[in-house]
Amino acid sequence: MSYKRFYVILFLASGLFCLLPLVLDLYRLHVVIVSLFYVMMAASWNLIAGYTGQVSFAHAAFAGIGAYTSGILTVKAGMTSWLGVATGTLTAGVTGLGVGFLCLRMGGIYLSLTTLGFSEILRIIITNEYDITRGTMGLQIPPMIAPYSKAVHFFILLAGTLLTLIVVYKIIHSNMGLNFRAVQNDERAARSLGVNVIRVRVLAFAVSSALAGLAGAIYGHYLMLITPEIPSLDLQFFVLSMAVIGGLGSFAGPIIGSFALTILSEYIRAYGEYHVLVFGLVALAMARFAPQGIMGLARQFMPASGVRQ
Amino acid sequence: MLEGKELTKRFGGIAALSQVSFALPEGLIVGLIGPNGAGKTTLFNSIAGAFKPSSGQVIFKGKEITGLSTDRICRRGIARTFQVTRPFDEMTCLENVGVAVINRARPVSSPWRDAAYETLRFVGLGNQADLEAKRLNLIEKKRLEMARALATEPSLLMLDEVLGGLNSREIGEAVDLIRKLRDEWGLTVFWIEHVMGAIMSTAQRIIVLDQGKKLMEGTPEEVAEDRRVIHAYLGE
Ligand SMILES: Nc1ncnc2c1ncn2[C@@H]1O[C@H](COP(=O)(O)OP(=O)(O)OP(=O)(O)O)[C@@H](O)[C@H]1O
Ligand SMILES: [Mg+2]
Repeated sequence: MSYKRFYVILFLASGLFCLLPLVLDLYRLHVVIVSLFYVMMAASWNLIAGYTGQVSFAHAAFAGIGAYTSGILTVKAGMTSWLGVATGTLTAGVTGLGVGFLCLRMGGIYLSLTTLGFSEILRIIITNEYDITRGTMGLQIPPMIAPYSKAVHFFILLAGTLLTLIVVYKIIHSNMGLNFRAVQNDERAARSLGVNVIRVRVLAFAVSSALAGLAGAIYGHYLMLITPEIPSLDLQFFVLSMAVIGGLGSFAGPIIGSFALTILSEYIRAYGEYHVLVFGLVALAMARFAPQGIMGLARQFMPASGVRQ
Repeated sequence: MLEGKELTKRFGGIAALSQVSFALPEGLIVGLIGPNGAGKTTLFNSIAGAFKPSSGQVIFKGKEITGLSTDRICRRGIARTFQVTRPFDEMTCLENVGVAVINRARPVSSPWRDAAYETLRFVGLGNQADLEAKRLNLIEKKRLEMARALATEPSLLMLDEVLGGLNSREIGEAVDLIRKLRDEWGLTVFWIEHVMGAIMSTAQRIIVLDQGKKLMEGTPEEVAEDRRVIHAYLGE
């Protein structure tokens, strides 16, 4: 897809989205807002998992870092929400840089294990530091813009989503993106051609973590209540399922996956909390039988229609 | 230009390389021959930083590079091809070569696509630029391997059996290409090859390895006449 076509499609789509507050009731608008949050999460996770092949389980944790940094700064230090979100994003990015630096040398399964450990540690800290975080009760925080309006927050999340998608698109079409794919295809060959593999991975990890921080921070202010459910493994696996089912390593895959699974989970919510489990199983099956997800299937069955990136 | 001092590489108890010393003069094609398992690829790997030699030193342009990471060694000016080709399967040929271009020590001012395309044309893959690398046949993959190495702008090029599987016409083309690299580009070439005719008629010097040790070194004529070499190849 050319740059021009990408921007045309992106702005047409967001133009249509701008009409949604006029036609949707508050509940449906909420579902769209949640979907947008997941688009931000899945698209940025795709940047590392889909384009550099590093499966991190700390993406929800980084969203948590963004949300709690911003939340605590606004509540305890009286910072404005905007500054809070910026600080949260930065904190997640810098933490990502640190975690990346420490565990990306190992790669593969070790990366997955260390990120899993990191996210558990973070959850335990947040749950136990009751004085600061209010534990599982959750911390009440101010909205992005007061007085609270769902429509206004819809636009803020839409802007965050656009920003995330543009950043991801620009990266994967830049020289860095070329290095990402080289590393994913054959690490040894990439090294022999001068690619500094560790730097490429750490950079990808840091950018992806910052974007997760941004998503978590904005989402927190939308909910006005942040709980350890944001940096939870539940949320992590939900994001993973969306990216995998939509199509890892394709640009549109995580977007489609996020909307599909958020809306679907609203319908089957009535049947209890098993939906994450069901999605996890579907994602596993997809990873086994259709590793390129919905996008891959679309490419297979409609080769002529130009469904590519 | 490149100097190895008593290079040794042990895998577990076995010394795949023991106490190998050599010096490559600038601007020559130097052949590296020896029976299967002699340690030729291991020597390349030790020079290119794929692993650290157990002992010994590698000196390139007067500076020690022993144990540096592969990517840094590449940016110092040493490029290598792999005996078993390792293309980036899911990427186009142009992108394959582009990776080498964008990571050069001396960054290009022109768009990487131009430089990558030039190199592809040079090795005869101009028409395959937009083809995914996994669709290439073996010979084309070898050429792609060569194009990627060249696109890093090396001063020393290490080729690991680039003629294997080629017919005699293709061998002729490849040999011409390698000569051109020396004569027109001024590259130094270190070249592992089992196709004896080609390497004996092209290289100016030959180093012979056998069972991890350097058996001898000399001009192709000297090597061809040496009893130890004949013995190593023919066995007992
Ligand atoms: N990564 C490795 N781990 C263990 N042993 C190795 C490794 N690489 C090479 N060897 C061993 O070192 C010895 C030398 O292997 P090498 O690949 O260098 O030979 P070669 O001269 O390139 O042979 P060929 O002509 O068949 O390519 C062999 O006995 C091989 O089994
Ligand atoms: Mg070999």
